[in-house]
Amino acid sequence: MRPPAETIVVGAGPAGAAAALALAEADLAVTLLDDNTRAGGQVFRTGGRTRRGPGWDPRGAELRARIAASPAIDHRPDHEVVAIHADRSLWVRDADGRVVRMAPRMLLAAPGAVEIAVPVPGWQRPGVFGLGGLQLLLKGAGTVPTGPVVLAGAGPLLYLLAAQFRAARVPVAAVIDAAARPGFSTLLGLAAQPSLLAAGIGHRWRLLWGGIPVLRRHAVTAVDGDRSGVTAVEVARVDENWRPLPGGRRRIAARTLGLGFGVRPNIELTRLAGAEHGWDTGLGGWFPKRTDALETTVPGLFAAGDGAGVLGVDNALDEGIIAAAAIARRLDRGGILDWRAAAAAGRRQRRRVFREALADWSALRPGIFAAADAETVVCRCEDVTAGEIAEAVRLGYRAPGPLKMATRAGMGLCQGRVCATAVQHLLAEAAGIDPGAVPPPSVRAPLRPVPLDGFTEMAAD
Amino acid sequence: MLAGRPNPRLTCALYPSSPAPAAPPTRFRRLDPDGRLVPLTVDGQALELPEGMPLAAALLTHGFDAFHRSVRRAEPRGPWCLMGTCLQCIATVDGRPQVRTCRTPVAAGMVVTLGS
Repeated sequence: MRPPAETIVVGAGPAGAAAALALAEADLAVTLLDDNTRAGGQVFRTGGRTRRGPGWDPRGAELRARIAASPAIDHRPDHEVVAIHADRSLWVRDADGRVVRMAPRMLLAAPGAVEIAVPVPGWQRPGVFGLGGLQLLLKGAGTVPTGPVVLAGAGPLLYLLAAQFRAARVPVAAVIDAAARPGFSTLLGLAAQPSLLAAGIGHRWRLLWGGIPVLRRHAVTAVDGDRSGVTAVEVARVDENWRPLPGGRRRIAARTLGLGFGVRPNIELTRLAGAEHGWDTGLGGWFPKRTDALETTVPGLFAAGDGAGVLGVDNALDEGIIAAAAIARRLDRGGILDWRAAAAAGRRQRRRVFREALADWSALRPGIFAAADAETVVCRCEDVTAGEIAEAVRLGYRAPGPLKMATRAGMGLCQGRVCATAVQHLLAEAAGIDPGAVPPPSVRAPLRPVPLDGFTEMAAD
Repeated sequence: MLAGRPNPRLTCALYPSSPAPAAPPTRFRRLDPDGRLVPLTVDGQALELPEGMPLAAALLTHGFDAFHRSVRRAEPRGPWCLMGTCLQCIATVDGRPQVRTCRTPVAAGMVVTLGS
Protein backbone atom coordinates (compact mmCIF):
# COMPACT_ATOMS: atom_id res chain seq x y z
CA MET A 1 0.00 0.00 0.00
CA ARG A 2 1.19 3.51 -0.85
CA PRO A 3 2.14 5.82 2.02
CA PRO A 4 -0.45 8.55 2.61
CA ALA A 5 -0.10 11.53 0.24
CA GLU A 6 0.67 15.12 1.19
CA THR A 7 -3.01 15.93 0.73
CA ILE A 8 -5.74 13.88 2.32
CA VAL A 9 -9.41 14.20 1.44
CA VAL A 10 -11.88 12.75 3.95
CA GLY A 11 -15.10 11.64 2.29
CA ALA A 12 -15.59 10.42 -1.28
CA GLY A 13 -19.01 11.97 -1.81
CA PRO A 14 -19.50 14.63 -4.50
CA ALA A 15 -17.36 17.30 -2.75
CA GLY A 16 -14.48 14.99 -1.83
CA ALA A 17 -14.52 13.13 -5.14
CA ALA A 18 -14.59 16.37 -7.17
CA ALA A 19 -11.71 17.72 -5.09
CA ALA A 20 -9.63 14.56 -5.49
CA LEU A 21 -10.20 14.50 -9.26
CA ALA A 22 -9.26 18.20 -9.56
CA LEU A 23 -6.11 17.71 -7.45
CA ALA A 24 -5.16 14.77 -9.66
CA GLU A 25 -5.57 17.03 -12.69
CA ALA A 26 -3.10 19.43 -11.10
CA ASP A 27 -0.66 16.51 -10.79
CA LEU A 28 -1.00 16.33 -7.03
CA ALA A 29 -1.16 12.97 -5.31
CA VAL A 30 -4.14 12.62 -3.01
CA THR A 31 -5.28 10.02 -0.52
CA LEU A 32 -9.07 9.77 -0.57
CA LEU A 33 -10.45 8.24 2.61
CA ASP A 34 -14.06 7.10 2.71
CA ASP A 35 -16.04 5.18 5.29
CA ASN A 36 -18.31 3.73 2.61
CA THR A 37 -17.43 0.72 0.50
CA ARG A 38 -17.92 2.67 -2.74
CA ALA A 39 -17.23 6.27 -3.72
CA GLY A 40 -20.11 8.64 -4.43
CA GLY A 41 -21.34 9.37 -0.93
CA GLN A 42 -24.98 8.99 0.03
CA VAL A 43 -26.39 10.99 -2.89
CA PHE A 44 -24.81 8.75 -5.55
CA ARG A 45 -25.20 5.50 -3.64
CA THR A 46 -26.02 2.50 -5.79
CA GLY A 47 -24.52 -0.69 -4.29
CA GLY A 48 -26.68 -3.76 -4.52
CA ARG A 49 -28.81 -2.58 -7.44
CA THR A 50 -28.54 -4.79 -10.46
CA ARG A 51 -30.73 -2.53 -12.58
CA ARG A 52 -31.13 1.17 -13.09
CA GLY A 53 -34.20 2.13 -11.15
CA PRO A 54 -35.56 5.01 -9.12
CA GLY A 55 -32.76 7.04 -7.59
CA TRP A 56 -30.10 5.93 -10.05
CA ASP A 57 -27.83 8.85 -11.04
CA PRO A 58 -25.32 8.53 -13.92
CA ARG A 59 -23.06 11.14 -12.30
CA GLY A 60 -22.19 8.66 -9.55
CA ALA A 61 -21.06 5.98 -11.98
CA GLU A 62 -18.96 8.57 -13.82
CA LEU A 63 -17.29 9.79 -10.60
CA ARG A 64 -16.47 6.21 -9.57
CA ALA A 65 -15.00 5.37 -12.98
CA ARG A 66 -12.84 8.49 -13.04
CA ILE A 67 -11.54 7.88 -9.48
CA ALA A 68 -10.69 4.28 -10.33
CA ALA A 69 -8.86 5.38 -13.51
CA SER A 70 -6.78 8.08 -11.84
CA PRO A 71 -3.27 6.98 -10.82
CA ALA A 72 -2.81 10.09 -8.65
CA ILE A 73 -5.76 9.14 -6.41
CA ASP A 74 -5.20 6.58 -3.67
CA HIS A 75 -8.84 5.76 -2.91
CA ARG A 76 -9.26 3.89 0.35
CA PRO A 77 -12.82 2.74 0.97
CA ASP A 78 -13.98 1.45 4.36
CA HIS A 79 -11.57 3.79 6.16
CA GLU A 80 -12.98 5.80 9.04
CA VAL A 81 -11.32 8.79 10.66
CA VAL A 82 -11.54 8.13 14.39
CA ALA A 83 -9.58 11.18 15.56
CA ILE A 84 -8.10 14.43 14.30
CA HIS A 85 -5.55 16.34 16.33
CA ALA A 86 -4.60 20.01 16.58
CA ASP A 87 -1.66 19.46 14.17
CA ARG A 88 -4.12 18.10 11.56
CA SER A 89 -2.81 14.55 12.01
CA LEU A 90 -5.40 11.80 11.83
CA TRP A 91 -6.07 8.42 13.35
CA VAL A 92 -7.72 6.31 10.71
CA ARG A 93 -9.36 2.91 11.16
CA ASP A 94 -8.37 1.00 8.02
CA ALA A 95 -10.26 -1.75 6.20
CA ASP A 96 -8.52 -4.41 8.32
CA GLY A 97 -9.65 -2.82 11.58
CA ARG A 98 -6.24 -1.38 12.46
CA VAL A 99 -5.85 2.24 13.51
CA VAL A 100 -3.10 4.03 11.59
CA ARG A 101 -1.71 7.55 11.93
CA MET A 102 -1.58 9.95 8.97
CA ALA A 103 -0.12 13.45 8.98
CA PRO A 104 -1.09 15.36 5.81
CA ARG A 105 0.15 18.83 4.91
CA MET A 106 -3.26 19.75 3.55
CA LEU A 107 -6.53 18.23 4.72
CA LEU A 108 -9.96 18.56 3.15
CA ALA A 109 -12.95 17.52 5.23
CA ALA A 110 -15.88 16.52 3.03
CA PRO A 111 -17.90 14.46 5.49
CA GLY A 112 -21.35 15.26 4.11
CA ALA A 113 -24.52 15.63 6.10
CA VAL A 114 -26.54 13.66 8.61
CA GLU A 115 -30.31 13.61 9.02
CA ILE A 116 -32.06 15.88 11.45
CA ALA A 117 -34.15 13.73 13.78
CA VAL A 118 -37.32 15.13 15.35
CA PRO A 119 -38.53 12.89 18.19
CA VAL A 120 -42.27 12.25 18.50
CA PRO A 121 -43.98 9.80 20.87
CA GLY A 122 -43.28 6.29 19.58
CA TRP A 123 -40.69 7.25 16.94
CA GLN A 124 -38.26 4.69 18.35
CA ARG A 125 -40.46 1.82 17.16
CA PRO A 126 -39.12 -0.56 14.51
CA GLY A 127 -40.51 0.51 11.13
CA VAL A 128 -39.73 4.20 11.67
CA PHE A 129 -36.81 5.39 9.54
CA GLY A 130 -35.18 8.63 8.59
CA LEU A 131 -36.44 9.76 5.17
CA GLY A 132 -32.85 9.58 3.94
CA GLY A 133 -32.54 6.11 5.45
CA LEU A 134 -35.57 4.88 3.50
CA GLN A 135 -34.13 6.39 0.33
CA LEU A 136 -30.78 4.68 0.96
CA LEU A 137 -32.60 1.34 1.28
CA LEU A 138 -34.07 2.03 -2.16
CA LYS A 139 -30.94 3.41 -3.84
CA GLY A 140 -28.28 1.37 -2.08
CA ALA A 141 -30.00 -1.97 -1.57
CA GLY A 142 -32.94 -2.06 -3.98
CA THR A 143 -35.17 -2.57 -0.95
CA VAL A 144 -38.57 -0.90 -0.60
CA PRO A 145 -41.37 -1.02 1.96
CA THR A 146 -44.31 -3.30 1.19
CA GLY A 147 -46.48 -0.53 2.59
CA PRO A 148 -48.56 1.24 3.47
CA VAL A 149 -45.95 3.95 3.94
CA VAL A 150 -46.35 7.41 5.41
CA LEU A 151 -43.66 9.94 4.53
CA ALA A 152 -43.53 12.92 6.87
CA GLY A 153 -41.34 15.91 7.59
CA ALA A 154 -40.40 18.79 5.33
CA GLY A 155 -38.22 19.61 2.36
CA PRO A 156 -37.69 18.39 -1.17
CA LEU A 157 -36.70 14.83 -0.23
CA LEU A 158 -40.29 14.23 0.94
CA TYR A 159 -41.61 14.70 -2.60
CA LEU A 160 -38.66 13.11 -4.37
CA LEU A 161 -38.89 9.93 -2.28
CA ALA A 162 -42.70 9.77 -2.62
CA ALA A 163 -42.33 10.01 -6.42
CA GLN A 164 -39.58 7.35 -6.40
CA PHE A 165 -41.76 5.05 -4.26
CA ARG A 166 -44.68 5.58 -6.62
CA ALA A 167 -42.44 4.63 -9.55
CA ALA A 168 -41.44 1.46 -7.64
CA ARG A 169 -45.12 0.65 -6.96
CA VAL A 170 -44.79 1.16 -3.22
CA PRO A 171 -48.17 2.04 -1.67
CA VAL A 172 -47.71 5.52 -0.15
CA ALA A 173 -50.67 6.26 2.17
CA ALA A 174 -49.88 9.94 2.64
CA VAL A 175 -47.22 12.64 2.46
CA ILE A 176 -47.26 14.86 5.55
CA ASP A 177 -45.46 18.17 5.02
CA ALA A 178 -44.94 20.61 7.90
CA ALA A 179 -44.26 23.44 5.47
CA ALA A 180 -47.00 25.46 3.82
CA ARG A 181 -47.49 25.47 0.04
CA PRO A 182 -44.61 27.50 -1.40
CA GLY A 183 -45.76 31.09 -1.95
CA PHE A 184 -45.16 33.26 -4.99
CA SER A 185 -41.92 34.80 -3.71
CA THR A 186 -40.58 31.34 -2.76
CA LEU A 187 -41.38 30.00 -6.24
CA LEU A 188 -39.71 33.04 -7.77
CA GLY A 189 -36.56 32.30 -5.76
CA LEU A 190 -36.69 28.60 -6.64
CA ALA A 191 -36.98 29.58 -10.30
CA ALA A 192 -33.33 30.71 -10.08
CA GLN A 193 -32.59 27.00 -10.65
CA PRO A 194 -35.26 26.20 -13.26
CA SER A 195 -34.36 22.52 -13.66
CA LEU A 196 -34.60 21.82 -9.93
CA LEU A 197 -37.89 23.71 -9.64
CA ALA A 198 -39.24 21.80 -12.64
CA ALA A 199 -38.15 18.51 -11.07
CA GLY A 200 -39.90 19.42 -7.83
CA ILE A 201 -43.12 20.37 -9.60
CA GLY A 202 -42.84 17.12 -11.56
CA HIS A 203 -42.66 15.08 -8.34
CA ARG A 204 -45.69 16.94 -6.98
CA TRP A 205 -47.69 16.24 -10.14
CA ARG A 206 -46.76 12.58 -10.07
CA LEU A 207 -48.20 12.35 -6.55
CA LEU A 208 -51.38 14.10 -7.67
CA TRP A 209 -51.62 11.77 -10.67
CA GLY A 210 -51.02 8.76 -8.46
CA GLY A 211 -53.72 9.82 -6.02
CA ILE A 212 -51.29 10.15 -3.11
CA PRO A 213 -52.71 12.63 -0.59
CA VAL A 214 -50.41 15.45 0.49
CA LEU A 215 -51.21 17.19 3.78
CA ARG A 216 -49.39 20.51 4.06
CA ARG A 217 -48.96 22.33 7.37
CA HIS A 218 -49.36 18.95 9.11
CA ALA A 219 -46.99 16.83 11.15
CA VAL A 220 -46.86 13.37 12.71
CA THR A 221 -47.50 13.79 16.44
CA ALA A 222 -47.40 10.14 17.53
CA VAL A 223 -46.50 6.69 16.22
CA ASP A 224 -48.72 3.79 17.30
CA GLY A 225 -47.57 0.22 17.15
CA ASP A 226 -47.51 -3.28 18.50
CA ARG A 227 -44.62 -5.59 19.39
CA SER A 228 -43.44 -5.84 15.80
CA GLY A 229 -43.40 -2.10 15.18
CA VAL A 230 -45.45 0.67 13.58
CA THR A 231 -49.15 0.16 12.87
CA ALA A 232 -50.42 3.74 12.49
CA VAL A 233 -49.44 7.37 12.80
CA GLU A 234 -51.31 10.26 14.37
CA VAL A 235 -51.29 13.50 12.40
CA ALA A 236 -52.15 17.07 13.43
CA ARG A 237 -52.18 20.53 11.88
CA VAL A 238 -49.22 22.76 12.76
CA ASP A 239 -48.91 26.54 13.01
CA GLU A 240 -46.50 28.60 10.94
CA ASN A 241 -43.71 27.81 13.40
CA TRP A 242 -44.59 24.08 12.90
CA ARG A 243 -45.94 23.73 16.47
CA PRO A 244 -48.75 21.13 16.49
CA LEU A 245 -52.16 22.75 17.05
CA PRO A 246 -54.52 21.27 19.66
CA GLY A 247 -57.45 19.09 18.55
CA GLY A 248 -58.23 17.65 15.15
CA ARG A 249 -55.95 14.60 15.29
CA ARG A 250 -56.35 12.03 12.56
CA ARG A 251 -54.94 8.52 12.30
CA ILE A 252 -53.41 6.97 9.21
CA ALA A 253 -52.65 3.25 9.06
CA ALA A 254 -48.99 2.64 8.21
CA ARG A 255 -46.45 -0.16 8.52
CA THR A 256 -43.51 2.04 7.65
CA LEU A 257 -42.90 5.67 8.48
CA GLY A 258 -40.20 7.85 6.96
CA LEU A 259 -39.62 10.89 9.14
CA GLY A 260 -37.20 13.57 7.97
CA PHE A 261 -36.75 17.29 8.38
CA GLY A 262 -33.74 17.76 6.15
CA VAL A 263 -30.08 17.22 6.89
CA ARG A 264 -27.42 19.11 8.82
CA PRO A 265 -23.66 19.37 8.27
CA ASN A 266 -21.68 16.58 9.90
CA ILE A 267 -19.31 18.79 11.90
CA GLU A 268 -17.57 16.22 14.09
CA LEU A 269 -14.23 16.43 12.20
CA THR A 270 -14.05 20.22 12.08
CA ARG A 271 -15.24 20.46 15.70
CA LEU A 272 -12.68 17.94 16.93
CA ALA A 273 -9.96 19.81 15.00
CA GLY A 274 -10.87 22.94 16.94
CA ALA A 275 -12.28 25.01 14.07
CA GLU A 276 -14.73 27.83 14.80
CA HIS A 277 -18.37 27.16 14.00
CA GLY A 278 -21.45 29.29 13.40
CA TRP A 279 -25.19 28.63 13.38
CA ASP A 280 -27.48 29.12 10.40
CA THR A 281 -30.76 27.24 9.98
CA GLY A 282 -30.54 27.91 6.23
CA LEU A 283 -27.32 25.86 6.11
CA GLY A 284 -28.82 23.06 8.20
CA GLY A 285 -27.54 24.20 11.60
CA TRP A 286 -23.98 24.42 12.89
CA PHE A 287 -21.34 24.86 10.19
CA PRO A 288 -17.56 25.47 10.16
CA LYS A 289 -16.66 29.07 9.36
CA ARG A 290 -14.61 29.29 6.13
CA THR A 291 -12.76 31.77 3.96
CA ASP A 292 -13.68 32.26 0.27
CA ALA A 293 -11.04 29.59 -0.43
CA LEU A 294 -13.03 27.24 1.88
CA GLU A 295 -10.29 27.06 4.53
CA THR A 296 -11.56 26.72 8.10
CA THR A 297 -10.10 28.68 11.02
CA VAL A 298 -7.59 25.81 11.43
CA PRO A 299 -4.75 26.54 8.93
CA GLY A 300 -4.46 23.81 6.30
CA LEU A 301 -7.87 22.35 7.11
CA PHE A 302 -10.40 22.95 4.34
CA ALA A 303 -14.07 21.97 4.31
CA ALA A 304 -16.32 21.45 1.29
CA GLY A 305 -19.78 20.20 0.48
CA ASP A 306 -22.82 19.60 2.68
CA GLY A 307 -20.52 18.96 5.65
CA ALA A 308 -19.81 22.67 5.71
CA GLY A 309 -23.35 23.87 4.99
CA VAL A 310 -26.18 21.98 3.35
CA LEU A 311 -26.41 23.45 -0.14
CA GLY A 312 -26.88 20.33 -2.23
CA VAL A 313 -24.98 18.13 -4.64
CA ASP A 314 -24.28 20.69 -7.39
CA ASN A 315 -22.80 23.06 -4.84
CA ALA A 316 -20.73 20.23 -3.33
CA LEU A 317 -19.21 19.39 -6.73
CA ASP A 318 -18.29 23.06 -7.19
CA GLU A 319 -16.89 23.46 -3.66
CA GLY A 320 -14.68 20.43 -4.22
CA ILE A 321 -13.07 22.23 -7.17
CA ILE A 322 -12.71 25.51 -5.25
CA ALA A 323 -11.04 23.77 -2.31
CA ALA A 324 -8.77 21.76 -4.62
CA ALA A 325 -7.63 24.96 -6.35
CA ALA A 326 -6.85 26.58 -2.99
CA ILE A 327 -4.92 23.51 -1.84
CA ALA A 328 -3.00 23.40 -5.16
CA ARG A 329 -2.04 27.06 -4.76
CA ARG A 330 -0.82 26.33 -1.24
CA LEU A 331 1.31 23.46 -2.55
CA ASP A 332 2.77 25.67 -5.31
CA ARG A 333 0.76 23.97 -8.04
CA GLY A 334 -1.60 26.93 -8.50
CA GLY A 335 -2.81 28.31 -11.80
CA ILE A 336 -4.00 25.10 -13.43
CA LEU A 337 -7.25 24.95 -11.52
CA ASP A 338 -7.84 28.65 -11.03
CA TRP A 339 -10.16 29.28 -13.99
CA ARG A 340 -12.28 26.24 -13.09
CA ALA A 341 -12.42 27.40 -9.49
CA ALA A 342 -13.50 30.89 -10.60
CA ALA A 343 -16.31 29.42 -12.71
CA ALA A 344 -17.39 27.23 -9.79
CA ALA A 345 -17.35 30.22 -7.44
CA GLY A 346 -19.61 32.13 -9.86
CA ARG A 347 -22.12 29.28 -10.02
CA ARG A 348 -21.99 29.00 -6.23
CA GLN A 349 -22.91 32.66 -5.91
CA ARG A 350 -25.83 32.38 -8.34
CA ARG A 351 -27.21 29.41 -6.44
CA ARG A 352 -27.65 31.49 -3.31
CA VAL A 353 -31.08 32.86 -4.30
CA PHE A 354 -32.41 29.34 -4.82
CA ARG A 355 -31.06 28.05 -1.53
CA GLU A 356 -32.48 30.98 0.41
CA ALA A 357 -35.91 30.37 -1.10
CA LEU A 358 -35.61 26.65 -0.32
CA ALA A 359 -34.61 27.35 3.30
CA ASP A 360 -37.40 29.89 3.64
CA TRP A 361 -39.90 27.23 2.56
CA SER A 362 -38.62 24.09 4.28
CA ALA A 363 -35.77 24.71 6.76
CA LEU A 364 -36.41 23.33 10.24
CA ARG A 365 -38.64 25.46 12.49
CA PRO A 366 -38.35 25.03 16.25
CA GLY A 367 -42.10 24.59 16.98
CA ILE A 368 -41.94 21.02 15.63
CA PHE A 369 -40.09 19.88 18.76
CA ALA A 370 -43.27 20.54 20.76
CA ALA A 371 -44.53 17.24 19.31
CA ALA A 372 -42.41 15.44 21.93
CA ASP A 373 -44.16 14.90 25.28
CA ALA A 374 -42.43 14.24 28.61
CA GLU A 375 -42.36 10.48 27.95
CA THR A 376 -40.91 10.74 24.44
CA VAL A 377 -37.51 9.11 23.97
CA VAL A 378 -35.11 11.74 22.61
CA CYS A 379 -31.75 9.97 22.88
CA ARG A 380 -32.38 6.52 21.42
CA CYS A 381 -29.01 5.10 22.48
CA GLU A 382 -29.49 5.84 26.18
CA ASP A 383 -33.31 6.02 26.33
CA VAL A 384 -33.36 9.59 27.68
CA THR A 385 -36.78 11.27 27.56
CA ALA A 386 -37.77 14.86 26.81
CA GLY A 387 -39.10 15.10 30.38
CA GLU A 388 -35.71 14.15 31.83
CA ILE A 389 -34.01 16.77 29.68
CA ALA A 390 -36.49 19.48 30.70
CA GLU A 391 -36.01 18.54 34.37
CA ALA A 392 -32.20 18.74 34.07
CA VAL A 393 -32.48 22.17 32.41
CA ARG A 394 -34.75 23.29 35.26
CA LEU A 395 -32.02 22.18 37.70
CA GLY A 396 -29.54 24.43 35.89
CA TYR A 397 -27.81 22.24 33.28
CA ARG A 398 -27.98 24.73 30.42
CA ALA A 399 -25.43 23.54 27.86
CA PRO A 400 -25.21 20.24 25.93
CA GLY A 401 -22.05 19.19 27.82
CA PRO A 402 -23.41 19.45 31.38
CA LEU A 403 -26.80 18.20 30.16
CA LYS A 404 -25.10 15.09 28.79
CA MET A 405 -23.39 14.49 32.15
CA ALA A 406 -26.71 14.91 33.98
CA THR A 407 -28.97 12.84 31.72
CA ARG A 408 -26.66 10.71 29.50
CA ALA A 409 -28.37 12.21 26.42
CA GLY A 410 -25.80 11.91 23.62
CA MET A 411 -23.52 9.62 25.61
CA GLY A 412 -24.45 6.41 23.82
CA LEU A 413 -23.07 4.54 20.85
CA CYS A 414 -23.96 7.20 18.26
CA GLN A 415 -22.33 9.92 20.39
CA GLY A 416 -25.31 12.25 20.03
CA ARG A 417 -25.31 12.33 16.23
CA VAL A 418 -29.02 11.52 16.09
CA CYS A 419 -30.31 13.55 19.04
CA ALA A 420 -28.03 16.63 18.93
CA THR A 421 -30.51 18.92 17.16
CA ALA A 422 -33.42 17.76 19.33
CA VAL A 423 -31.45 18.19 22.57
CA GLN A 424 -30.40 21.67 21.44
CA HIS A 425 -33.98 22.75 20.72
CA LEU A 426 -35.49 21.15 23.84
CA LEU A 427 -32.77 22.81 25.94
CA ALA A 428 -33.47 26.18 24.29
CA GLU A 429 -37.22 25.79 24.82
CA ALA A 430 -36.87 24.82 28.50
CA ALA A 431 -34.30 27.54 29.18
CA GLY A 432 -36.23 30.16 27.22
CA ILE A 433 -33.31 31.01 24.93
CA ASP A 434 -32.75 31.05 21.18
CA PRO A 435 -31.66 27.64 19.75
CA GLY A 436 -28.76 29.39 18.00
CA ALA A 437 -27.47 30.53 21.40
CA VAL A 438 -26.94 26.93 22.55
CA PRO A 439 -23.30 25.92 21.99
CA PRO A 440 -22.69 22.91 19.72
CA PRO A 441 -22.11 19.64 21.60
CA SER A 442 -18.54 18.65 22.39
CA VAL A 443 -16.89 15.99 20.25
CA ARG A 444 -14.40 13.43 21.53
CA ALA A 445 -12.20 10.77 20.00
CA PRO A 446 -12.71 8.03 19.03
CA LEU A 447 -15.43 9.30 16.69
CA ARG A 448 -16.66 5.74 16.07
CA PRO A 449 -16.45 2.62 18.23
CA VAL A 450 -13.09 0.92 17.58
CA PRO A 451 -12.03 -2.34 19.26
CA LEU A 452 -9.01 -1.73 21.50
CA ASP A 453 -6.88 -4.24 19.58
CA GLY A 454 -7.12 -1.88 16.58
CA PHE A 455 -4.73 0.43 18.42
CA THR A 456 -2.08 -2.15 19.35
CA GLU A 457 0.09 -1.74 16.22
CA MET A 458 0.04 2.03 16.36
CA ALA A 459 0.98 1.91 20.04
CA ALA A 460 3.94 -0.34 19.16
CA ASP A 461 5.31 2.20 16.64
CA MET B 1 -40.73 -15.80 -3.06
CA LEU B 2 -41.91 -12.26 -2.44
CA ALA B 3 -41.33 -11.45 -6.08
CA GLY B 4 -43.94 -14.06 -6.97
CA ARG B 5 -46.63 -12.36 -4.92
CA PRO B 6 -49.26 -10.76 -7.17
CA ASN B 7 -49.39 -7.00 -7.06
CA PRO B 8 -52.29 -6.35 -4.62
CA ARG B 9 -53.54 -3.38 -6.62
CA LEU B 10 -53.58 -5.37 -9.83
CA THR B 11 -55.37 -8.25 -8.16
CA CYS B 12 -58.08 -5.96 -6.88
CA ALA B 13 -58.46 -4.24 -10.23
CA LEU B 14 -58.73 -7.48 -12.18
CA TYR B 15 -60.91 -9.31 -9.69
CA PRO B 16 -63.05 -6.70 -7.98
CA SER B 17 -64.91 -9.33 -6.01
CA SER B 18 -61.79 -10.93 -4.55
CA PRO B 19 -61.19 -10.29 -0.85
CA ALA B 20 -58.71 -7.60 0.10
CA PRO B 21 -55.21 -9.10 0.26
CA ALA B 22 -53.88 -9.91 3.72
CA ALA B 23 -51.10 -7.71 5.12
CA PRO B 24 -47.77 -8.90 3.72
CA PRO B 25 -45.65 -10.72 6.27
CA THR B 26 -42.57 -8.55 5.84
CA ARG B 27 -42.22 -4.77 5.95
CA PHE B 28 -39.80 -4.69 3.02
CA ARG B 29 -39.28 -6.38 -0.32
CA ARG B 30 -36.49 -6.43 -2.89
CA LEU B 31 -36.97 -4.66 -6.20
CA ASP B 32 -34.60 -7.02 -8.04
CA PRO B 33 -35.19 -10.63 -7.12
CA ASP B 34 -32.08 -11.75 -9.00
CA GLY B 35 -28.62 -12.20 -7.51
CA ARG B 36 -26.77 -15.12 -5.95
CA LEU B 37 -28.08 -16.37 -2.61
CA VAL B 38 -25.60 -17.54 0.02
CA PRO B 39 -26.27 -19.47 3.23
CA LEU B 40 -25.84 -17.84 6.63
CA THR B 41 -27.21 -18.17 10.14
CA VAL B 42 -29.35 -15.56 11.86
CA ASP B 43 -30.23 -16.25 15.49
CA GLY B 44 -29.59 -19.94 14.88
CA GLN B 45 -31.92 -20.00 11.88
CA ALA B 46 -30.43 -21.05 8.50
CA LEU B 47 -31.23 -18.47 5.81
CA GLU B 48 -30.23 -17.75 2.25
CA LEU B 49 -29.62 -14.09 1.55
CA PRO B 50 -28.37 -12.22 -1.53
CA GLU B 51 -24.58 -12.03 -1.53
CA GLY B 52 -23.17 -8.51 -1.17
CA MET B 53 -26.49 -6.93 -0.18
CA PRO B 54 -26.29 -4.73 2.93
CA LEU B 55 -27.06 -7.12 5.80
CA ALA B 56 -29.57 -4.70 7.37
CA ALA B 57 -31.59 -4.51 4.15
CA ALA B 58 -31.45 -8.27 3.65
CA LEU B 59 -32.72 -8.87 7.19
CA LEU B 60 -35.53 -6.31 6.75
CA THR B 61 -36.76 -8.18 3.66
CA HIS B 62 -36.85 -11.36 5.74
CA GLY B 63 -39.16 -9.96 8.38
CA PHE B 64 -36.57 -8.95 10.97
CA ASP B 65 -37.74 -5.51 12.12
CA ALA B 66 -35.94 -5.22 15.48
CA PHE B 67 -32.17 -5.74 15.58
CA HIS B 68 -31.32 -5.03 19.19
CA ARG B 69 -32.87 -3.96 22.48
CA SER B 70 -32.33 -0.52 23.93
CA VAL B 71 -30.08 -0.25 26.98
CA ARG B 72 -32.46 1.14 29.58
CA ARG B 73 -36.00 0.30 28.52
CA ALA B 74 -35.05 -2.94 26.74
CA GLU B 75 -37.37 -1.93 23.89
CA PRO B 76 -36.96 -3.48 20.43
CA ARG B 77 -35.10 -1.16 18.04
CA GLY B 78 -34.42 -1.37 14.34
CA PRO B 79 -32.36 0.40 11.69
CA TRP B 80 -32.96 4.14 11.28
CA CYS B 81 -30.35 6.00 9.21
CA LEU B 82 -28.88 3.20 7.02
CA MET B 83 -25.66 5.20 6.59
CA GLY B 84 -23.60 4.14 9.58
CA THR B 85 -24.40 7.11 11.79
CA CYS B 86 -27.10 6.06 14.25
CA LEU B 87 -25.89 2.58 15.31
CA GLN B 88 -29.49 1.41 15.74
CA CYS B 89 -28.92 -1.53 13.38
CA ILE B 90 -26.14 -3.16 15.42
CA ALA B 91 -25.85 -6.92 15.76
CA THR B 92 -23.19 -9.47 16.64
CA VAL B 93 -21.61 -10.72 13.40
CA ASP B 94 -19.12 -13.61 13.48
CA GLY B 95 -18.48 -12.97 17.16
CA ARG B 96 -17.81 -9.24 16.76
CA PRO B 97 -20.27 -7.19 18.83
CA GLN B 98 -21.91 -3.90 17.80
CA VAL B 99 -21.39 -4.37 14.07
CA ARG B 100 -23.35 -1.89 11.94
CA THR B 101 -25.35 -4.22 9.72
CA CYS B 102 -26.22 -1.39 7.29
CA ARG B 103 -22.55 -1.25 6.30
CA THR B 104 -21.91 -5.00 6.32
CA PRO B 105 -22.36 -6.87 3.02
CA VAL B 106 -23.94 -10.32 3.23
CA ALA B 107 -21.29 -13.04 2.93
CA ALA B 108 -21.54 -16.82 2.86
CA GLY B 109 -21.28 -18.52 6.26
CA MET B 110 -21.90 -15.42 8.35
CA VAL B 111 -23.21 -16.03 11.84
CA VAL B 112 -25.47 -13.18 12.93
CA THR B 113 -26.95 -12.79 16.39
CA LEU B 114 -29.56 -10.10 16.90
CA GLY B 115 -30.06 -8.80 20.40
CA SER B 116 -33.81 -8.64 20.01
